[in-house]
Amino acid sequence: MRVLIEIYESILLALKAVWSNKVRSFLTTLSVVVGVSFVTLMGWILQGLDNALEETLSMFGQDVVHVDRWDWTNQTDWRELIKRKPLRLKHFKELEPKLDFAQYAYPSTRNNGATIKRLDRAIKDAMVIGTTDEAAFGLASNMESGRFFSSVEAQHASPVAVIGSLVAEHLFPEGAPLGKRIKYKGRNYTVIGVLSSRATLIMDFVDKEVYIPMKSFVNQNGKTQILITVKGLPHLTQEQTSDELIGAMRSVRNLSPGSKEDFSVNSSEALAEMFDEFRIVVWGVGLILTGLSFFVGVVGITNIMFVSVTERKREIGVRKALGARRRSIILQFLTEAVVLCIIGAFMSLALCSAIVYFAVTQFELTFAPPHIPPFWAFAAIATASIFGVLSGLIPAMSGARISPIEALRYE
Amino acid sequence: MSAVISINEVGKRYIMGTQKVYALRTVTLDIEENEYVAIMGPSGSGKSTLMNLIGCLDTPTKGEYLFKGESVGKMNDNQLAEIRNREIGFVFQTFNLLPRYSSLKNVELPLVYSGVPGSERQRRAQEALDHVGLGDRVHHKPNELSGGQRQRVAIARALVTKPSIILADEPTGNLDTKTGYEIMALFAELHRGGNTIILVTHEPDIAEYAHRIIRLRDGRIESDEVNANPRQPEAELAAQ
Ligand SMILES: Nc1ncnc2c1ncn2[C@@H]1O[C@H](COP(=O)(O)OP(=O)(O)OP(=O)(O)O)[C@@H](O)[C@H]1O
Ligand SMILES: [Mg+2]
Repeated sequence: MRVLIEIYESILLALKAVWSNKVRSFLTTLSVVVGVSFVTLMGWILQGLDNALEETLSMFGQDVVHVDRWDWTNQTDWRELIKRKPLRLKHFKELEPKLDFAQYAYPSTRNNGATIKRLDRAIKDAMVIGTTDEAAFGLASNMESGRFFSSVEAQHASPVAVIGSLVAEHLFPEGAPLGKRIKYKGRNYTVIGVLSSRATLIMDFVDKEVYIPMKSFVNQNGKTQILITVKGLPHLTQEQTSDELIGAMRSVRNLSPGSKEDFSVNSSEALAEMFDEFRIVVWGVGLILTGLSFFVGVVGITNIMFVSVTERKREIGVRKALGARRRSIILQFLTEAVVLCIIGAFMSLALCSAIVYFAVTQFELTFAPPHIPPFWAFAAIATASIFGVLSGLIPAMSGARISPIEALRYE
Repeated sequence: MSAVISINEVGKRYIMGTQKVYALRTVTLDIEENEYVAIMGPSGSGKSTLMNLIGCLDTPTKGEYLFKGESVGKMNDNQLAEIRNREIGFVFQTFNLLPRYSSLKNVELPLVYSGVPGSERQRRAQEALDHVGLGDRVHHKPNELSGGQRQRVAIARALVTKPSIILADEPTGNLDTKTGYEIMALFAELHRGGNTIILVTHEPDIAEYAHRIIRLRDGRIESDEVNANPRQPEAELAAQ
């Protein structure tokens, strides 16, 4: 009971002391603001990274690897990338016989922002994908109704389409799209399958996909660059599949041993690894900056608290004469340091919220949360309290040790 | 009746560098409940040192001090703080009020340290301020009060825990003569109400209010006499 009363009084007193030295308190808190801001922003960046990772991984699909002209992990120099030969359908045809390690493999090419019409209705941001019947394996669990096109249909460039759930909703509000016609670039396609919704918060575009046979796509759009998706046999790891695929692709491209690949094999694992490395860098930089600013901050606040203790030596004497124990004096100065730091934490949270909001809205960082994650806001306040205790403890103890007569004699 | 304060061959020695300073050489002294004692003596004779020992702000380097029969020399910091909080009320020459606090908050302070909850604390602080005639100045800060009023707040603060003794070191030292007499009238009243009062002064006419006068010189008691005919501050104030 007595301790609770003392804590309560200490908080009131600390607020009073902080308020009566506004300028000094403000300057002192700056170091806390900097330190806590590092913690908070680091948390926000990590959260954004996780979201970006999740988004990208789900784009990869489960357990498949992709051969592409582009390196999805940004680990290859762009000057090298633009020199690479495009990946064409003929490469896939040459690769196919060598894929004895694959469960299935298919080429694909896409036309983003395509307009699909049906009677007087249209959807303007559909994504038309040309591929082969083997793509059905990857989508097997997502067929809502109908079927995927067959190898025969793929061979003959049949005018058939499998549409995403949003496309179906838009073009067929009355339902039952199977067997009906849609129009892509002036050509009619018969809907033979509808996919179920696969959209996540960040990835709503997947429901706007329209799959048509590769040959039909090429007939309409001409020669295109492709992406080759390969699923390894069940006993192979992603890495083993990637290695096999690299070997097969090298022979397709006639690369001499030791020369660099002029294609990339992208796997979700490699990407996740890259993200992990990046995350470690963010953590490392964040921790070093936080540590440095904390060190500076703790030294600064310790100093200010020493000044505060000396200034109030007489007050300490009076309090001791009136019956304050050492504990009470320590509590008083510790509370003051902690209150100071927590005020700093709140200032920092306000600042970071503004920064984050500005960054997200101005630079359209869709994957980053537009606010400080609650866990990190809590972590910021907790760190600030630790900060306060660390920097207040030594001055508080030295203040509490002063003998009452010495303190009372202090002019 | 046994003495509240029993000091037996007590001394206090300070060590300053290599030098020993005998602030108090040897003092033996008993003070009973409801006594009114003045301690006099020239500057440096050890008056404040004796007061600090009596008030448990410091412990003797020799001899034995029994407060209500208990040896102060054997107490730890917390026990000393406890005694100061419950049993002793201090009044200082320079008032020593906390400048940021209102009168009420200043008077509440000792009760904070004895763990009295807020509303009870306020009630008792108000009562103590009423007692010293400052019931209408509760929300004033020290710098909004006159010297005499500040000393009254300090006395209210000394009284609020209902201590057994009041220790006052030069309580009128910073006040003009008339205000000083008013403070002495307050002490006289507290004494009549049953309080034990010990006050330090080097002004003989202030010491004359006490019922017993102890004179110190060079850290020893020079004389210890009963004042058979103490001055009556109320009568004097009325006569003016
Ligand atoms: N903390 C200390 N350290 C060293 N010497 C001290 C200390 N406190 C007191 N003294 C010395 O002890 C002696 C007695 O001091 P004390 O303050 O008790 O005198 P006093 O009678 O109260 O004098 P005054 O009337 O001036 O207040 C002085 O010589 C003083 O210098
Ligand atoms: Mg003195």
